[in-house]
Amino acid sequence: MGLFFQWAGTAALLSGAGLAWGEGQGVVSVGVEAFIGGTGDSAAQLLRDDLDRSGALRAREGEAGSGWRVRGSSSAGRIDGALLDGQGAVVFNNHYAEPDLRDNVHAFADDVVTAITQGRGLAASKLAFVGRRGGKWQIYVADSDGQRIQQVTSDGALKGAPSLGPGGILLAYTSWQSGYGDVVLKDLRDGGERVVLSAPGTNSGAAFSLDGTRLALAMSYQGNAEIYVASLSGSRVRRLTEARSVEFSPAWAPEGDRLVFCSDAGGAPQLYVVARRGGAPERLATGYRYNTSPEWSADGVHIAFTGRQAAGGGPAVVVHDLPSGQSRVLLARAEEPTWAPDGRHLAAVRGDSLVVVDSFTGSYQTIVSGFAEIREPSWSR
Amino acid sequence: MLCVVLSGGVVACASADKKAAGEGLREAPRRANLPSYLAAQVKRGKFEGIVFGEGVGEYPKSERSKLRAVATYLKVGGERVILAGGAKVGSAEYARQLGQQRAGAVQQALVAEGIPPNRISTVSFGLDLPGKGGDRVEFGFVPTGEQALLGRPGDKP
Repeated sequence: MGLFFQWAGTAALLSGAGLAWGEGQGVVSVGVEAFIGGTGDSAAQLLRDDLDRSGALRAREGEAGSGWRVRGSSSAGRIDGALLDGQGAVVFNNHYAEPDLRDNVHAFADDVVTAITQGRGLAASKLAFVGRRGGKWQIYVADSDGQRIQQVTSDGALKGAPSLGPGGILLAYTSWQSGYGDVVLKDLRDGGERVVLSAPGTNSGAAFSLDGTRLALAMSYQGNAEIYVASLSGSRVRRLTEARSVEFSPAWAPEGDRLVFCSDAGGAPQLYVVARRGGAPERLATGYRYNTSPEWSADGVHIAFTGRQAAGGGPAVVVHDLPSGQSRVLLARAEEPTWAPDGRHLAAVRGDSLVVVDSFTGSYQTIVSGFAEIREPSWSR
Repeated sequence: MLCVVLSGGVVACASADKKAAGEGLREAPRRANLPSYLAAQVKRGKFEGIVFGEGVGEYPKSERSKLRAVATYLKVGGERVILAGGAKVGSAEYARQLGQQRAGAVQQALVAEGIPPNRISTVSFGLDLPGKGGDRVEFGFVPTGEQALLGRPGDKP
């Protein structure tokens, strides 16, 4: 597909509020023994890459040294993988039998990350985004490292605002196939899809709740755009906001009890938080004049958004720390951030590329390029 | 949990919908069958679009002469008009909903000029408004007699 994968340097853009996120986050070394079996070399290399991309672990080759070790075998893409602790005791020994080697290695890598850090990995997660080629906008889904990019829509209608449900199985997106902005729900396993929200006006920006049972979105059938929560079938909705301004881009808190969204009630868009059952929204003071594309981190502590100091100003991915109320620029000249399930990494659009940035270190890498334009990435949880 | 496979394999759960009703979620409305702004039969570019200020959703009264020309045309003929909104702002989602607000503002202005609301529909293309694009609302006219033939919401590709 003419796409490539490349490393970029450290962003060195951790500036602003003087926050010290990531302090004390030691990197754990993990020995990766040579895998036996016909696809062993490929599997071991992919596993090392996955462990390194976690940010929390660093893979070292071979059996030398003490501490955590993984060993495995890979035949015809199927993997038996074990994790051993510093005393040589087996922590787990699992069999991974998905049809594709990459799926099996990603699942093994995430199990290693979880066993060592007690947190979630990102290797098996998926990224959806909107890409333009040949004048057509289509929805694409890729692995978290930018590999295996699949075009999952094909008709010629305008599309946007993809959102992946838990596990990356269901995809919600906005399609103008009917001539108007409707929300479509697509099952990525078999490609089946149906329009679930087609109220008068524009229905867009659907975001899955973390349990996958609800969508939050902006709808305008009662006049101007307001934030709604909808059942997954789209048959039932509830309005959460009521204002003369434009409300858009809702995103769920991980507990599902609140949502963050944008409103231009004060002129330029600002961030607000509202309870899932409605009520008076509270403005989030971010220090930025123009705030769009908010998304709540999986740990509930941070909200990432696109910040601009003026309407026409350059974008930056900004992370707002809720306990301290402080914001910092994570990556300049980037926009539309989306959190990985590990609560540490984010994907964002930078120019015509998709990048992944480590919020602890500020280092980033380009994972997708080769499109005329990329918009609105969404990371599965 | 009772789950059913909908068209194309998408699963909906009846119990989830029942729970949604219990939580006070109401039945969602669906758009009536309407013609598409991009259909071949729709005449676009016949009148100059209404230009909005950057980030502004309110109907600009400075554009009233353009609007009156459209209203006069509609009063003479029996065509239906589709108002297509766009916005050039720093977020695709903001652009979609701001474009919709602009189309709605022009719709209200046309109604104030005496055009029945049932002859007007609105759509937003956000950043991707066909034609000149940008901060505008464009007009598309559906010839009489063809209004029921052009596109239906939910149609499959």
